[in-house]
Amino acid sequence: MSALGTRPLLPSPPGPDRPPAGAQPARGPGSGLASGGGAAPARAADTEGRRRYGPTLWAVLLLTLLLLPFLPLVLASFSQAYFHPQLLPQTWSLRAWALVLGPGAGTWAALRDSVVVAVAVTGVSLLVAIPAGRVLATRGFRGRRAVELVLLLPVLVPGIAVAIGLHVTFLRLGLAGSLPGVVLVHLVPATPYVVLLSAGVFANADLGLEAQARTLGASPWQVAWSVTRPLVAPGLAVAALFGFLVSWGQYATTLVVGGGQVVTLPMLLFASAAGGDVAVTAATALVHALPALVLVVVMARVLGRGAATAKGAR
Amino acid sequence: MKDQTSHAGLHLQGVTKRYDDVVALDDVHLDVTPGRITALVGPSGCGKSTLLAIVAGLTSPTGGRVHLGTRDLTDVAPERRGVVLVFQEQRLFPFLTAVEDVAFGLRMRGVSRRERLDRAAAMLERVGLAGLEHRRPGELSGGQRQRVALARALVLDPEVLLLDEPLGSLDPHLRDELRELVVALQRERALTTVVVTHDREEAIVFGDHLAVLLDGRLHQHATPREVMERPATAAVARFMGATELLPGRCDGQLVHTAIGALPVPAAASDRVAADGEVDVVLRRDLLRVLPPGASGPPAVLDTCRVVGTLVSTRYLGTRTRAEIVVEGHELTIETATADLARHRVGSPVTVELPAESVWVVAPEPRR
Repeated sequence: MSALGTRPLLPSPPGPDRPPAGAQPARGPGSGLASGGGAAPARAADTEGRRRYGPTLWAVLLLTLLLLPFLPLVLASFSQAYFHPQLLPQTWSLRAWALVLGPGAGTWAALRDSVVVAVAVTGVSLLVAIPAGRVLATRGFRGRRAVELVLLLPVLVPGIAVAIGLHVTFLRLGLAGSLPGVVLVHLVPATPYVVLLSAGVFANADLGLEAQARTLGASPWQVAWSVTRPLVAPGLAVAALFGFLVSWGQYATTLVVGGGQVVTLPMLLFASAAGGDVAVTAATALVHALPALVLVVVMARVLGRGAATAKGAR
Repeated sequence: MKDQTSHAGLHLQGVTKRYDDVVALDDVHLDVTPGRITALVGPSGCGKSTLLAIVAGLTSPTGGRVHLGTRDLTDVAPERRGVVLVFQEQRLFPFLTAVEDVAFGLRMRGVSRRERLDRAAAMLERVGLAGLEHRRPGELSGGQRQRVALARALVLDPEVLLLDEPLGSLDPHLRDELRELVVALQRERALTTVVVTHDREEAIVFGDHLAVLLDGRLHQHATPREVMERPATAAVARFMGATELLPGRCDGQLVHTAIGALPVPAAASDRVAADGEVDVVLRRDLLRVLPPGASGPPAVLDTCRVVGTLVSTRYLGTRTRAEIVVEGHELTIETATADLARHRVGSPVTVELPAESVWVVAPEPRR
């Protein structure tokens, strides 16, 4: 089917070190969420009309922009033959989906491993990011700039370079080719995002409320649970989402450290893309993108509701 | 707990706070009168908020002790002190409604939901916010937020209530109203209260007692009248305002200054050495300008007169501020507008200094 020479109507697969499909839609709503929490009071000052229609218009526009790239993917995944000048596939088929979701493809195992790795990465990076973010946001200390730079380094250095470097060490430690090894290498690109977002959350939170709670009779644990938690939870949820999505989209680091033993969804996606079967690639890409997309939408709904009640707009 | 200690005073003994090489509080001794409002007044940066944070337990002092009655609070966690601090910026919890916010402290104490919400609602009603129980901070005005913050503190029946600039963030027309409310609530409960303010007039109206804190040192702790009429130091006189400071030299019953010899007030004689350097404090509002042509010895004993030249006047409404040069020294006085009506700028005027307008303090280090 995918005759070479005719250009399939597919978005080019993401490069190995760009955050692939799943991470891309996250950028928009993700950053939108982050500001949605903080800008609530400012927004309340808007005029009635703008408040009513403005966001709706923007939401429709944004959703269109975000979802449009998925349309050709969906079409391609259900196609048997789909050639260049045509807007729609000539022949429709469920072949690719049967193959991808069937027992032989290993999609379900890859989905499971992807989820396990991403959840572990999210958890561990939050454990680091909550205290680190708080310190970065609230304390001035010697060498703080240096710490921030070190935190940014993994974002600046290509992941593959890090992975190849770590691979040797991981081999020696017996971590290569294992899930924990992949989790560790994913932490390298994920943690900086989570820490920096967490620092932003703590910088924006009014931590004076903690002192207020203490004089009102709350013990340090009560303060943590009843004041700090509700204060930072929405922002930290966004930070966690970023950690999850960065791990979710990792290809090169998984390839090098996982050594083919750990097969996550991006591994399958690249394999099928290299195989040249457009329909299968499209279906795999959708399987990869869908959970991330659902996660983003669910998070937006939950946080949106939270922001609405915080404003009292019930 | 409250019954045993409700009349216990708050005692600060040698409280000192240093940040690296900056001394924020320098050996502060203060006995806060139980059941009364003490206004802690001083310019911004004088350490008054730090002092409040130390009493609340949010900052630990570098030295000194804090006692409540016989209980040493110095190392007690803030939540166990029975001391509640209300911040200037209110600090309401954004995720709670007004009634939940007021019930917060009760919730921390484990009071049942039904009971704490009932008590919180009753307290909200007392501060005049009935009907706004389910508003969030963003839906309340500044004055309403301050009332919630007050209700939230009072519902806990604290032994000591600390208010940091409670009226600072409010519009002037709301201030009087809220101040009356604070005073009424304090009187109802005979609550030992410390109010921090940088505003002299607010401190005078608010406080049963004033504690004047300047540059981290407690200069005077007395009634507002005493602070105004008998300032302990030149710095207090300068801070409380409406005074002229003149260097002088004491000589038995008289103090010699640039504008002439003035009688030493009897009440001040134990504050300064019988002879030596002093600073003379003149209350601008008590100095009087005599009508033109009035002369002869003053009718009242202890009143003295000086003659100077009227340099300028500034109309302030019922009062007028006048600059008068006496013996080369410029004196600013504030007097009834009518008294100055018949004087011309440039003409000689006689200024009468009644005994109560003159006060003497130990001299500041001369530069």
